Amino acid sequence: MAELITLERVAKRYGNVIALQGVDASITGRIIGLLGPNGAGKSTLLKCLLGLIGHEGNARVLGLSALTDGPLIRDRVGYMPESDAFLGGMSAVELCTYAAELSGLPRSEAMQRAHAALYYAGLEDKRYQNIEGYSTGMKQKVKLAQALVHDPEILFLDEPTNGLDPRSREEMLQLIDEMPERRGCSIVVSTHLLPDVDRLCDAVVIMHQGAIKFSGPIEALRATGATGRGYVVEVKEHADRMADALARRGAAAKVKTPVSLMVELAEGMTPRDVLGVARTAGLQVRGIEVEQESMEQAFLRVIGVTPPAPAAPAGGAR
Amino acid sequence: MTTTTSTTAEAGTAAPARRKGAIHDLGYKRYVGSRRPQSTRWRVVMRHQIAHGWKTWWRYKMWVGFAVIATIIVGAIMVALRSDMTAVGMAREAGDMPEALEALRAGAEAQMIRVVDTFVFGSIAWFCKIAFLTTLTVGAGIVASDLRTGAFTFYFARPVRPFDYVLGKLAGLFVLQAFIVLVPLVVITLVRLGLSEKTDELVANLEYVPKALLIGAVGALAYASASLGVSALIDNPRQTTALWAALYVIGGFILIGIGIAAEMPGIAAIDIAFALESFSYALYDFHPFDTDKVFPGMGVCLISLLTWCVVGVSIAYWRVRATGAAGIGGGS
Repeated sequence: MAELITLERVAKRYGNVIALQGVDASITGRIIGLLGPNGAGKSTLLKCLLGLIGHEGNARVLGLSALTDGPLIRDRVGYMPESDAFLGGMSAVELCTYAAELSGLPRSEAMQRAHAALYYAGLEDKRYQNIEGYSTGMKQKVKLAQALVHDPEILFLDEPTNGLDPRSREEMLQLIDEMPERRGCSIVVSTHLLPDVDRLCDAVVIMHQGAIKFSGPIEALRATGATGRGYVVEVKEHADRMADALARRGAAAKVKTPVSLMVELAEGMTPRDVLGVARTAGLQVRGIEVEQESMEQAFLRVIGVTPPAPAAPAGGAR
Repeated sequence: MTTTTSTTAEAGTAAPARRKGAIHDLGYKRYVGSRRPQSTRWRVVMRHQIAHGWKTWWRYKMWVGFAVIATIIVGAIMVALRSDMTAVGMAREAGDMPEALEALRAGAEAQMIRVVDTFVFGSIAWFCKIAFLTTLTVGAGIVASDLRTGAFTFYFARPVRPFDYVLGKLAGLFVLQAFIVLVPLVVITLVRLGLSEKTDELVANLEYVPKALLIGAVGALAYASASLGVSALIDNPRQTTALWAALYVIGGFILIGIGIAAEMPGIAAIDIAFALESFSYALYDFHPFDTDKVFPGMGVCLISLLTWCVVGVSIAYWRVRATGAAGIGGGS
């Protein structure tokens, strides 16, 4: 797959504040999550990529230099802002038509694509209403429609599910998930909601203190943190007894539910040994899966923050 | 404007079969046509500004109606008074103006002109009032309104530069103001030419047309750029409109008062309407009695009007450039 974004020693300073400290990365993927705590440099990186601010180093988007080809880049990418970015007194179809025209499409094509984008976003019935009367969910959909109306090759989405109720959030996630196949574009999602990243993204870029701490597929992110000896074991019943039996063999076991437990195998142990332990204890194992690091754990690990210890479940942690 | 032939092609990837209840997209096809050149994007902004003004009756159409009515009234009066002559263009009968009569008796050089000419020189004052009212509904809140609604994020995430935005807005306002100031002046000028009694008079007065165009264009530009500049001062469109109204009405009243009282026409010329009226008189070489102490010269008027233009556009550009991309990525 061709690289969407290439960063070579990209640095940006605001006075004495270093917003980006010479970051390097090659970013590609279907849906890419851009993660980082507040002040990590995501906004600055985004502005650099759109060619809106100057920077040191070399940032390329779709092979175009962000320093010299900013307008060309912005013709080929779409941006859905987190905050409202509408024009007063306009309907959704007027706004989207105007957006497409500003992106260089001829008027007739712009109008046609505005209708299509609003259909795609699920606003076909409301597209002639004034946007000021829209609900939060509808406004999010208009923002999405205006971002994709000019047929971008990359879509930058800034907190796309912010403020949405569960149903609207589900609709928005579904739209985003379908978009790469249906619209032929890649997506960069900047969000704080790690479950959204877990569900949507196949690659992540994690930023912290102006540096890119990780860039690559989610599997690679999780593999980095996995010990290779962690498993989730499901039993028919008595997970606590299973934990005791495993502990006697030197494994560290933590009961999650009455029928599942997390197991860190001892040196030299294999999953087959877990089955043996169960057989000896008279317990029935229903499944053994390699333990996956959660997005939150992986994120905190990458940015160097120790995750808070989870509350002990009923039955006691072992 | 660059027109392009749009051609479309199937997207590289086939859309998945539509699920029940799935949101449809009317059969998406990748756009492969050419795009409008970057240097012409400001025209899209201009067109939008004009369309926005035209959209609601109270924002612009009402003032166009006023301008049309004023033009018709002026035209009708001109037709009615087509044969009358006047000295200095101030009074039809000397008895109406004893000072003028006294001056004439004392041997002052009278400037005898046709009454219809005075409408060509002086009707700008009427249209200035309508132009000002237009700025209240369509000009003085533009940038503030965009600042408030987050429209700059909308604009600058696209290939629109601050220059394109300001130029587009200015051009849009200019076109709107041109129909209030410039077109009526040209129409009145044409009526005046139509009322010529001889061909020689018609030919001699043909120069009125470019003069009317110049006055109208300068007036439309001054009102457009001044109101645009004031609209960029504060984030609240109501406050910028109120500020502009106060500056124009109260500030103008004070400046004209000081200028006349102190016999310093340059101060009075800071008022846009007064500067335009004076500019018109100077351009047509029309000098009513003893008015050199009241009406400033052409150069002073032009400097004042162009200063309004430059300052207004500079403020708008500075604000737009400073605020431009602030909203982009700001929420993440």
